[in-house]
Amino acid sequence: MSVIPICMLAVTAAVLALTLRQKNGEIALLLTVACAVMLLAEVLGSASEIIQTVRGIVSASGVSTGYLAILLKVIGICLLTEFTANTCRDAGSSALASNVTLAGKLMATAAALPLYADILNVVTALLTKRM
Amino acid sequence: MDVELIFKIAAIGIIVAVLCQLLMRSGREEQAMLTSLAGLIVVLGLIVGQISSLFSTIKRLFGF
Repeated sequence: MSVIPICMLAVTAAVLALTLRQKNGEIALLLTVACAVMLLAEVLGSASEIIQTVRGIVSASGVSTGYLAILLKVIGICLLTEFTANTCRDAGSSALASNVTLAGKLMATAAALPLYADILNVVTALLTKRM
Repeated sequence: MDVELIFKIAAIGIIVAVLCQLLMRSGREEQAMLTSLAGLIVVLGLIVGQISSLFSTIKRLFGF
């Protein structure tokens, strides 16, 4: 799918939501949510090729694929929390949006904790070798 | 990608707004409120499937 239908769909949905917002704000919000979900679902369908390519590069370079799994998980967390925070901000509750962002940051850090442990192991191995 | 969904939601919104106006003018505030609630629930039912498919795609793609 090319980029032009995506932009046209977004503009159409924005105009329709603007029309509806005066009379029926909830349905306008749901309309924008539906448009965002459709856009993301459409684009993510083609993102699997990117992930396959990155997998190929990582396996060719000899880096452990566990790191790639962690990286993909963090990217997924970022995507979901960003989507949710934008929707909450659109609905006018920005406190909820920033709390969702905070939760996403914490969960991304928790998902990346094994990497910190690996770095610590490498550092201690270097130091003990030096001594 | 079905663009009809967007237009369907917009049409439901416009119809519900018109019905609400009519019911308000004729002095039936409770029925107007119930109509707008019904429209909201119908639209929610329409987009819940899309949201669940998006979340399952993300789950499958990023390996949760």
